[in-house]
Amino acid sequence: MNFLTLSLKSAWHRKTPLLLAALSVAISFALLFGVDTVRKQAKDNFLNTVSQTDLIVGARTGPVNLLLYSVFHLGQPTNNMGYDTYRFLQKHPQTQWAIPLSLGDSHRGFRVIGTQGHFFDHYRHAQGQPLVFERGERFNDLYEVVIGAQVAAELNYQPGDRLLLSHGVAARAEASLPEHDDKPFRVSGILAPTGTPLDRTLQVSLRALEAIHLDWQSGRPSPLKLSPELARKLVPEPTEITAVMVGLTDKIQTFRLQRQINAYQPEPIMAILPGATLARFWQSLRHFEQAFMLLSWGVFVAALTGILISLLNNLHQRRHEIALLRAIGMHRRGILGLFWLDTLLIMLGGFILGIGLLQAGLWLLQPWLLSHYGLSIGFFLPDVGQLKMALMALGAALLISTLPGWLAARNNLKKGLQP
Amino acid sequence: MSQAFELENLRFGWPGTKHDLLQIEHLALQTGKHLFIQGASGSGKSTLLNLLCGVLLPQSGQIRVLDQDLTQYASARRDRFRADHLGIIFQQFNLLPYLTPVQNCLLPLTFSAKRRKQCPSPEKTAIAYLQQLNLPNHLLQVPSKNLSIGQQQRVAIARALIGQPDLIIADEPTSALDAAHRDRFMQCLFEAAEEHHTSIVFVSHDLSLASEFDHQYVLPEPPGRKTEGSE
Ligand SMILES: Nc1ncnc2c1ncn2[C@@H]1O[C@H](COP(=O)(O)OP(=O)(O)OP(=O)(O)O)[C@@H](O)[C@H]1O
Ligand SMILES: [Mg+2]
Repeated sequence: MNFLTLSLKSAWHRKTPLLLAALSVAISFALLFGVDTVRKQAKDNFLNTVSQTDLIVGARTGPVNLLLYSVFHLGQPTNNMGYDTYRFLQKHPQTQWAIPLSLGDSHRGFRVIGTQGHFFDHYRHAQGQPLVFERGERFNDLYEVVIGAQVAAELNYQPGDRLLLSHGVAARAEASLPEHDDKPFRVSGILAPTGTPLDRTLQVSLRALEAIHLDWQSGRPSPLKLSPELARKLVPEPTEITAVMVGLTDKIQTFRLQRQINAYQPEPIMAILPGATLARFWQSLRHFEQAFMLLSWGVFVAALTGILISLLNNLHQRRHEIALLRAIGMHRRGILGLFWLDTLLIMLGGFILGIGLLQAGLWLLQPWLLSHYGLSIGFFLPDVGQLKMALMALGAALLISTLPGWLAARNNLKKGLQP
Repeated sequence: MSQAFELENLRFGWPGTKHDLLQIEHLALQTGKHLFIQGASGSGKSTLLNLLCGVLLPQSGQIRVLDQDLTQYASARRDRFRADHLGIIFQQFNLLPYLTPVQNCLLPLTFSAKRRKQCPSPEKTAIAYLQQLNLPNHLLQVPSKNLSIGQQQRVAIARALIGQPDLIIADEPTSALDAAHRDRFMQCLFEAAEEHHTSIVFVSHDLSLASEFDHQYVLPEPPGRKTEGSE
């Protein structure tokens, strides 16, 4: 039997306290990796929401505000912009494409986006990924609607199903809103998941929004009812939209065009660079991120203290064992080795257990994270950065376990072999 | 004539104490002989054994064990020396409770290549020793914590003897045993030592055992103690 198997047997003999220590380390590892993973993937999700859109134009407000309501559908737009302005942007020589967005209606808690068919040609997310239809196709008829992946999954809609749009956006999904109940929409297609807020939206044509509001006055149905077919004939050009996404022919012109738009005379509008604004907004969230990381390191320090305490307890329990090993010729440094091995086992066990714990935890939490925050977080194994954190933690643990080891060795020198 | 050990002008005091605990002009034991050391509690018997084992170093003087001056060796070398040449038996806690008696017997081979070489078939030897010491066969492969104290002390003899050490050092190995077990232990120890021509240094309170040894040594009351009153 060599020293290693001997120490392993000794560890096995004390498996309950070691396992408990490993469990507390496992919880810390799970937290540490969990927070780090959520942080990284939330950032990726976030920064990938819009791609290859050079400018977003809307009524004058804060850049972050415009970004939030146009892309994340959070909050309410303060003002709309004229449809004429959209036509101006669309015809501008530097414009390659321009997509109008009109927000304001909803369907059972999901936002409805009024837009145009070429939205599905130009919208890009992640690293320039186009939109893909999982089933069906884009809206062609006035009373057709395209639905996002999560809308389809949660409400269990199939292409061909009929649904009603509600007027306005409720703070809570269950709140009752007046419905456009005389003009049902037919689901024409379902988009594949994008991992962006788009998954939780429905898209209809701008003209469809005009049509369903034709017989409404100041937010209420007017007594004069128009049938869907009549509305189809009478539907006018839109007059207002919420925002416009613009792709340019030449990216170098971005800033010039932005300045030009910001100085647009007929109405006060502004243009933002979505990538830069996203990044700046993420920056403003940094201290949350840092606070979370700090918190998980704090939990880790607690776990390390736990290891230290259990090793110090061991010191007394193991004095006979140590005396015996010394008597048969183990060097004093071997005592340190015994404590290091214990720590290594605790950390290794904690690492493996922690990964399992996190996988299980995320598997359980995934549906909730997805439905409440639109976050799709995947964790299989730690990445390089997380492995580095684990190595740092291991280093710290070995360092602190040097203390009891050194105490035991010094004790041994001071007291001789007497167990 | 070679010596099992020889002490010369030895002085030792625990750090932080005023008086030296041990002051020994000369003490020696011939190879193959058995020495009985007695002395009042606190007279430094265990301390002396620690010095012989090379765990402690004296303030001055020489400790030659098997004709090697331990005081000249660095601590790692003294540890190796102990692993190679000595067999040590404590008053109790001689075994690792989670190992079987056989595994416990094999422990000294862990740190000593020399003893591994001197014990070509370790398992067999360990079992033979244990049987010779009257350990019931069914106990050979169960965790040692299941053994009685008497049985554990006999396993300790086998453990001390494996790989043919030159000197056995025993610190009150019988004080946890009743009379019958004590006699059995002593008989086993002497038989085994006789067979392998092993020298023994044996410390005990129990003066009735002294007569069986070749030599006896009485440690004097340490200086500075008399004023404190006796225990
Ligand atoms: N680590 C230590 N530090 C300081 N003093 C010590 C230490 N160990 C022992 N002593 C002191 O040295 C003296 C001798 O101790 P030792 O254990 O050698 O006695 P002993 O003869 O073996 O006694 P006993 O028969 O009770 O086992 C005692 O007075 C004890 O208090
Ligand atoms: Mg003693």
